[in-house]
Amino acid sequence: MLKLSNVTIAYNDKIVLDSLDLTANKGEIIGVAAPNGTGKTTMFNVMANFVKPDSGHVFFDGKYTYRNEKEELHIHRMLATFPEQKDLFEELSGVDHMKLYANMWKGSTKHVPSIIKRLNMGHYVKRKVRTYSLGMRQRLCFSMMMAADTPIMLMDEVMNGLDVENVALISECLMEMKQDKLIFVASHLLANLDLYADRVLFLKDGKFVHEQKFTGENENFLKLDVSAEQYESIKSELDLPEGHMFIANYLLCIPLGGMSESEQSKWMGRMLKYNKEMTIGPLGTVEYYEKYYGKTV
Amino acid sequence: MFWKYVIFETKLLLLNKKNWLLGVALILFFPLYYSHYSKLDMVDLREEKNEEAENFPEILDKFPGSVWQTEEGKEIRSNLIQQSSLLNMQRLYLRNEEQGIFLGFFGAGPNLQNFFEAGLQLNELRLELHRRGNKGIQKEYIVPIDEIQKENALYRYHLEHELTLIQDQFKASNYIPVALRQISGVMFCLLVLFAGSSMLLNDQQHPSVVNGFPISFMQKAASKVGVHFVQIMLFLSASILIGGYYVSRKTGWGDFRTPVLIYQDADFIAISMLRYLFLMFVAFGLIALLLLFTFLLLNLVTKNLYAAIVILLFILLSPQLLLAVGVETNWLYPLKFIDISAVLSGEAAKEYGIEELDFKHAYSWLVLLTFLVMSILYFRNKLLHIQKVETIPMKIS
Repeated sequence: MLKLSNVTIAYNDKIVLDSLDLTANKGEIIGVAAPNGTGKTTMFNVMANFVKPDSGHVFFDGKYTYRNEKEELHIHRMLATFPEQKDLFEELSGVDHMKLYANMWKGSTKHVPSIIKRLNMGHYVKRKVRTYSLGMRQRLCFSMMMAADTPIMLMDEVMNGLDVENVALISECLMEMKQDKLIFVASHLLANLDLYADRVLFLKDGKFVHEQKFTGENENFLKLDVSAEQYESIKSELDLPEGHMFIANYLLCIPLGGMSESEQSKWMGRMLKYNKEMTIGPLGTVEYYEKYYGKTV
Repeated sequence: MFWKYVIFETKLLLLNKKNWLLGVALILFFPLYYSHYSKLDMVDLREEKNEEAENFPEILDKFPGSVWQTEEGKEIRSNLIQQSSLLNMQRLYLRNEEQGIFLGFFGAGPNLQNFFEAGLQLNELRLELHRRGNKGIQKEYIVPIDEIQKENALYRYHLEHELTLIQDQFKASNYIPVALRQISGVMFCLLVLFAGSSMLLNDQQHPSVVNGFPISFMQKAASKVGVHFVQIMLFLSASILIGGYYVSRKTGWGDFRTPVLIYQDADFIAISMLRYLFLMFVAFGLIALLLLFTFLLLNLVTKNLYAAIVILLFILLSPQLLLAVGVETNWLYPLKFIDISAVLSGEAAKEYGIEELDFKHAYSWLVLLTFLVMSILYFRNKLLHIQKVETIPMKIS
């Protein structure tokens, strides 16, 4: 449905996206995880043709690309981008915004009341946007995307300013929406991404450094918190298996794949000396994030 | 989608307080200017005719004796005496009209008809003197040909429509065109520029909301210009109606068949006030369209609202500015069309020495220039997209 082919873009000699390739299909939610300033928004802007790449192309349905305005319009009819809170029209109401997106993409506003109900916006949606809190604005931005109801959605910073309850609500909605859509979600709520994303892409130095899939089998790890000194001590005392990781100077991850049950128990026993609390499971988005960006989340 | 987008742009425009303020200012201009206009000292037709008649003894006195004696001199003298006689008859018809005597002393028919017929004969004699080179007549007493043509046009119009001559200059029907003439030119251009200055503002201030709309650039441009154009024309209509109503409450509506002189096909013709208003209104519309499209183009190119305003003002005022530094600016005459009252009155034709410079000529230029600017917008947009194609191969590897 969407293919990035060798997309490169640089600003003032800083390469933001470096020969990026990606194929994404309908029915997927793709999470994009990366710290600020690593090119998530630029990637979305390239996908929407708001920014022209220095090289490379974006293809839709295998044939459409931004060759001319006619094709751009065709693509934009099936693609909507998440509006930023600061860009909302202060003097218009929430309903006006939703109707605008509904009209522009669906040509009808019949489905707007059901979205208002689904997102519990009834008590404020008719007021002017300037009276809204951050959370209300963010829900409005999301509701505009729902109103547009396009086959491809690019959602940057979708959970910004939302409380726990609303994060859960939006996550539910995303899961409901993904049936017939391709949705890209850039979010800093990494654990939340695990709930609804089919895969999470980690963008670093202009490239995808890792793609975490939730649909297939993932390797299990024995995970425990240890200090840097403890890690050094473990390394000197034991021959840690290949592929082990010490993430963000606190998390030791030992791969259990290919080990027999007795070997796995042996490793657990060895580790009890360092920390009695340990978990077994695949690495989550948070752990990969910490691994690639060296930051504790 | 286009109409949905137009509705959205309209909604934003209705929320634009600056434009409402401009509309109120335009509406207030009509009653405010009337307070000045109503204090003006208008020259009465009777006084004008009296003054003309009083000139004749002097014209004859100053006629050179050497010319009197010639055959041609005798013919000129006879012409002048006939002119004097016709002028006095006109004065008499005017007096009769004022006193309500409609029987008339000389010839059949109402006084007014006689007045106009006498006036036409008088002007024919004046034109004959022009053909003879106004020999022996002092310069200050020669009535210019364009003045004669104007007067003839007015007289014929009155005869044709059987209108009364003495009109109250302060009635609404006479005042509205005067007020519109004041607005015409730089004042109207500034109004359009300030009203249109917000056209791209929403796109610049709310990019993530509006950038991805599935609507073409030209459709966006057309809707932006369209809604601003409609708003400006509605403000203009409202100001004419409200201003007219205000004046009518003071002095009455007057007669909208009252003639106004316009320059057309190298001649002056008299048309009704209503038609004159229509011509002005169409011209204001064409000027507004041209300015809005040009402003949009400049704003897109400069990406700076204030730079676009300054550049456009500089272009519009360039004939005057260049003239001030001694540069010949006749070739910039299409810019004069922004002052449509000068075109309709024939001032523009006189100023630039171009006979065909009438309102039809101005309309054609305004339409042509608007299409030119629209074409530039269209091809610029095409070009921006074509540049993108160059980096994209036609087949997926």
